[in-house]
Amino acid sequence: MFTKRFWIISCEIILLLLVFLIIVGPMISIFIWSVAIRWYWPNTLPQEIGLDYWLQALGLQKSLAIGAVSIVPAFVLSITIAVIVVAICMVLAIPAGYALAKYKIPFGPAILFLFLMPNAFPQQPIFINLLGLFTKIGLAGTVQGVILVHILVGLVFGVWITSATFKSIPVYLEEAARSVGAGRIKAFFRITLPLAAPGLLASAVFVFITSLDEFTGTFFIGLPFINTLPMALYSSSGYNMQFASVIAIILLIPSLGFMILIQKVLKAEYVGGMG
Amino acid sequence: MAEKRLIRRGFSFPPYIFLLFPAVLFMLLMYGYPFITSISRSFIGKQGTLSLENYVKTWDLYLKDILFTFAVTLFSTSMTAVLAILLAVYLRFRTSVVSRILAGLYKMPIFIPFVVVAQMMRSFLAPHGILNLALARLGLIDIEQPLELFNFYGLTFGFIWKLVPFSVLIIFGGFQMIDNSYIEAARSAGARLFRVITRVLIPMSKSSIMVALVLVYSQIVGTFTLPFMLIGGKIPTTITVDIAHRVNYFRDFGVANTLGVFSYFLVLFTAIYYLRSSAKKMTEDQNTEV
Amino acid sequence: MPDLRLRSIVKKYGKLKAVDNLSLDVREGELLTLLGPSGCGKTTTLRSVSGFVTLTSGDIYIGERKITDIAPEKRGIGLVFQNYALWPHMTVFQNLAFGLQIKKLPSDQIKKKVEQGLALVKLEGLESRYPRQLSGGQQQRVALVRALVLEPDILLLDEPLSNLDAILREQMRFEIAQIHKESKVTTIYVTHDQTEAMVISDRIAVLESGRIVQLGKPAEVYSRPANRFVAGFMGTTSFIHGRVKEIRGKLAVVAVNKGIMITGRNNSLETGQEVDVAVRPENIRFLWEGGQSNDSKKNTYEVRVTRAAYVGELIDYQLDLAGSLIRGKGEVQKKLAPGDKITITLDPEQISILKG
Repeated sequence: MFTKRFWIISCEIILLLLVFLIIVGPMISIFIWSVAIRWYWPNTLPQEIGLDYWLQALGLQKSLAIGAVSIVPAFVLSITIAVIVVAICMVLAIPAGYALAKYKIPFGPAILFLFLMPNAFPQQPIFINLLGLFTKIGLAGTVQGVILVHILVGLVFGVWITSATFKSIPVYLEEAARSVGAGRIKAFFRITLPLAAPGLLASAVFVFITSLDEFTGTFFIGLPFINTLPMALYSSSGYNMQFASVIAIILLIPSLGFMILIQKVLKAEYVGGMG
Repeated sequence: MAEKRLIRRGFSFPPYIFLLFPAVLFMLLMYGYPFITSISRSFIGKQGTLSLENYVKTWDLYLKDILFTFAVTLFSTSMTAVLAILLAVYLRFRTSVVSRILAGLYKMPIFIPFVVVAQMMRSFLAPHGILNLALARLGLIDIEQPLELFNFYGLTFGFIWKLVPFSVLIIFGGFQMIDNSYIEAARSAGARLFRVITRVLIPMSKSSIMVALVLVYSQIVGTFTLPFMLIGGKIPTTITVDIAHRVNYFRDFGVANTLGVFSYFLVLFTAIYYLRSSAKKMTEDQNTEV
Repeated sequence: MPDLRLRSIVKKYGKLKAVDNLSLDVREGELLTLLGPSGCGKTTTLRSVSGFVTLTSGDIYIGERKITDIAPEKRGIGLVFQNYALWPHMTVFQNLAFGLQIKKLPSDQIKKKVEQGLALVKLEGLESRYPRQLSGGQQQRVALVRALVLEPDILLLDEPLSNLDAILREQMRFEIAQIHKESKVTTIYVTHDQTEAMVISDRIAVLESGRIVQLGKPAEVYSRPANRFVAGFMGTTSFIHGRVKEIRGKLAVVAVNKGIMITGRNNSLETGQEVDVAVRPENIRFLWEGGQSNDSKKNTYEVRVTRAAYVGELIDYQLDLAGSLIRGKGEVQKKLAPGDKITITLDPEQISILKG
């Protein structure tokens, strides 16, 4: 009865349960808190549940608890910033990614250096020195300042993903276009760009989500005026567990959505695209 | 291979200069310049002159926190490495229902931003949070004395929670690139599982493991959000929290940057390794195009 | 239909000379093959004609036009790639129409030309398929038509059949030769497969280390190789080392080991020169009746079979000619086994003598 197979499978199931609890546990925690009206220790579950905090967050209900205000302004601000950031970031990253992928650049390693440093070294010192600089030129605590910082954070990933995308398009496809008479620019727009589109889109979505979730830079540059979703999460975290959980869930959704999208797109792309 | 010039011989700018210029300029202004001042300003004292007073002050005030940061980083990184390798080995060798579920499940924390992770940990690890609740119900702890986790332990748990999936992704990817034939050759020569892991799998995927370790290590040193929301101003805390404290309460950029320089030192070796291996890979790629 | 002229072209990568002062005239309407092993410079030469490699020095002319510094899209050259390079996001029709649209042809004309092109390679009706829905052979034919439909001055083919399996390759060889005959486009073909080169080419240029070592008709290159490299590259060749003993007009006598002598074609040789005698399996005639004696002066020798391999349509032999091992082939019916002795004779006119 207690064969090797039995032991292996039991161990597997225990492993699965453990991993499941560890990964899902913290998520369950905020889900429960987001619908808890009253939850006192040591009850396993809240005494009273309801969607009150959700309604308050969405501005549909006035609250009496501290810190539970409508987060709609913060949400709108975060989305607006993210959209602007993506637009500017892609304008910078797409040409740069193309250049890094297709040309042999004499000072290539040096440029690569510049884009890799933010991954190699802590970024917080950069933010505080930017704060010093921005204070002098009046950008501290402004939306423009925050946008610039978000572009910085996003550009590093943006350039890396776009350059990987362009690299994956075989150069002979462009050469074939030129061999039938297409100039460089036409070949880019008719051949390279359509084939790169999925990867570039993924890059844009990634930058969008990075901006949405950005906390550290916004904290230093944006305080005290700029209230993005992550900032709202942080400030309510000290006062109001339920409210903070609601905001956490709202921030979770685009990220997990992106994860599902990525899994689907990655598979479809590599099978169908290059033929 | 693309040509280097649109127009032949004669003075003209190669096209890639225009393509790269905006992004590079932006990086130089927004990253290069602050990076340099982050080091230079640590050497400028209260009087505005060159001095080492910031370093003396930092050493006095924050040595404990610097060591704390190093301890958290080292411990979290090693635990992450061990767990990630074990999980990656499991996924590499088992193709059961369970392993397939796990393969989908483990990726979730990768896509969750640190802000949200911080909030999750605050509620999950709280004295009256779900973890303590569950442990009390299972009889493992006394319900009157829940675990106090907003410290070294909670912080490392949070880092491991977020970064093991990321590491598994990279390391498992490395394992998958090792063709089955290498493993079968070892087994037909008599190697058991443990030896296959230590003598074939790990050595052959050294670069993936190193990349994962390096990225995990430098992420932990540089993370502000998690320690800030979990530990905050309690003592001991991480360098990142101290830097924030120094800037927000004292406007003391001298000491703040000095703390930054200490954090640069903590990652110096990993940064060098990372930059070198990336540069090597890039020149390899460029050369194969010729 | 213009011709193509390469004048002293050089391509250096750092210190390495991929193409070393190469000059070549491709006559109008001919199919000339650049043949050689990997790294010999044939692909680099082709790509410099197409414009994707910028020459270090030298010039290229199409007819009277100097195209050395002209961008690839303006050269009027059709290019067929080894991996077909069909655009995966476009249908067959769109792939073929792309170049025609650039030429701003009216759409009914484009449609007609595409249909004609597909008919030429027997792929009618596949206009709305995507490349991934076609087989390798079909993709290659679409790639060929894509180049031809633009009626280019010059057609370049870069190892187009390397990615196909052996049977398909043989089929496609004949098709390409046929299409060339009909279209009469001046063509350069690059390959490392010498059988392929011999089947389709009007002339072959054999390349080694960036230089042309022999240029001529297939039969010439095969039976009168200019040097050891070409001889070894074409067909199966066995070499026997020796020294020139005597010159007799058009023939020369070479002394190889153990007092054996072989008479072959005189290739501007001098007595005393060290040479390699090239013997091909088809040069060897087995004297089954026996009785003939071992006579070096008449290129007749007694040899011992050291290896015999049955290859279906013939037997592949390795023969020991006084210490030198040469390859021979014989009918399946007259099987010899290792250890057997047999007398062979060589026709001096067919034997090449190559300088070391």
